[in-house]
Amino acid sequence: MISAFSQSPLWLIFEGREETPLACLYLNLEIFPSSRQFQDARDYFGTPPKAALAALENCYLEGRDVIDLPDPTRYLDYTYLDDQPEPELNFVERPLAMLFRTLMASRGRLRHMQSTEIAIARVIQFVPIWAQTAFRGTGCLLWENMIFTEDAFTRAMADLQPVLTRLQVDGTAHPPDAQILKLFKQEEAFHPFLRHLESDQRLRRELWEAFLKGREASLPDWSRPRLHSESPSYNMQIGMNGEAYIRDLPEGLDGWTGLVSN
Amino acid sequence: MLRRIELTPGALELVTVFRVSILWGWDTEYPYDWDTCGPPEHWYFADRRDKKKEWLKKNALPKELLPRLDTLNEANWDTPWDWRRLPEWSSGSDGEGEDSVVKEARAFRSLMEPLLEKMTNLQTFHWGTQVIPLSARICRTLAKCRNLQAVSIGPSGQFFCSSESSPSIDL
Repeated sequence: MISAFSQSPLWLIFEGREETPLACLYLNLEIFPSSRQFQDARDYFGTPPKAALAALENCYLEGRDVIDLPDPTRYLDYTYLDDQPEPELNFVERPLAMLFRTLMASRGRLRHMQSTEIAIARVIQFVPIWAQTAFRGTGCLLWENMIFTEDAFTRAMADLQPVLTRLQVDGTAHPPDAQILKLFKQEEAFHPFLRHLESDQRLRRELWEAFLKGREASLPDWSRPRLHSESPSYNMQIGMNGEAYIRDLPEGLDGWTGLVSN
Repeated sequence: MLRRIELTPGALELVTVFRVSILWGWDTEYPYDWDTCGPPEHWYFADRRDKKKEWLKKNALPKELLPRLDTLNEANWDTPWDWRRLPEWSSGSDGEGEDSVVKEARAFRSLMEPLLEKMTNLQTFHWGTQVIPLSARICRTLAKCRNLQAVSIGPSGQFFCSSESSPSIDL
């Protein structure tokens, strides 16, 4: 059995949008798979995820580390067109694959993005995107404020642009790599990513270049209100159908009521 | 459900905000049963009543009851045996899906696509169908909307019906 209802060719929205960047993309999607979906892949779809995908299982849960996507460039090979699931992609990675292609297509063409799946902020491959597109986690309706302020990774991505701005002000347009690295070491907010930033010079360079391009195009827009507060209809959109999900909740919170459980 | 649209010529060009919201009917804590129900985009539009007893036997009825199924009356079949909500068994959208528009995802999109193509001044677009993916034609149309500011998608995704949906409230 194959199902394609989770995939849309969202990347097409950014086609030809070089001069007219989209102001905001709101995503209220589940992106990362839980153990349940791994079980579904095995039991119902008969396609056990490959060993490399094991890193994705429950990776969105609180307390987990940086998410390093296994070989994500292959996601750019697929189109996610109408009702045509890509047979090479496993059930557990389809939403992520679609998101990856969408975000890569959005580079330089998106000012602001909000997502209920705040674990997106933990994906190391997406960090250069947040150097030029403002990123906010929205969390779920009832506990959204709490999540946004408590999640270290989301905070780090919110601090990314202000910190890089300091480098630009203090030094030249292209500061030495050592200076960029030193800055990340000094900033406590980036420590969750430090291991990757230290070991990957190419990532640091890509991050800086993305930041510069975003600045030149006046791209990032942090002025967008958070999704839930924009209007009652958006509010309803998040809580549509009474669905509230326990993903991404800080530990100790009850999934439905938002009450602290003992 | 939308059945017929009559508009003054040019009216769609004045539309700046377009939102599509169709509620998903898997309002239960039971994980989605892919095997019995098939792809959710089909299940959403399908006549589900013929799957009812099959699904209940497999997922909800206590095992000790299985040898005595012939003793159950119709009301017994809908008993929430473990206090969890059961799926809805009506067909189509809220059981009223007789129109071809709500027979399948493709038919629904084919209604939306020409409408959207005429909304050339669209600024905000929301697609909240949960089970109906955006089509390439819709996405390409959005790419051409020069005044488009915000796109929002969801709640949707293949995991929404098979994972950590909210537990019911015990009052």
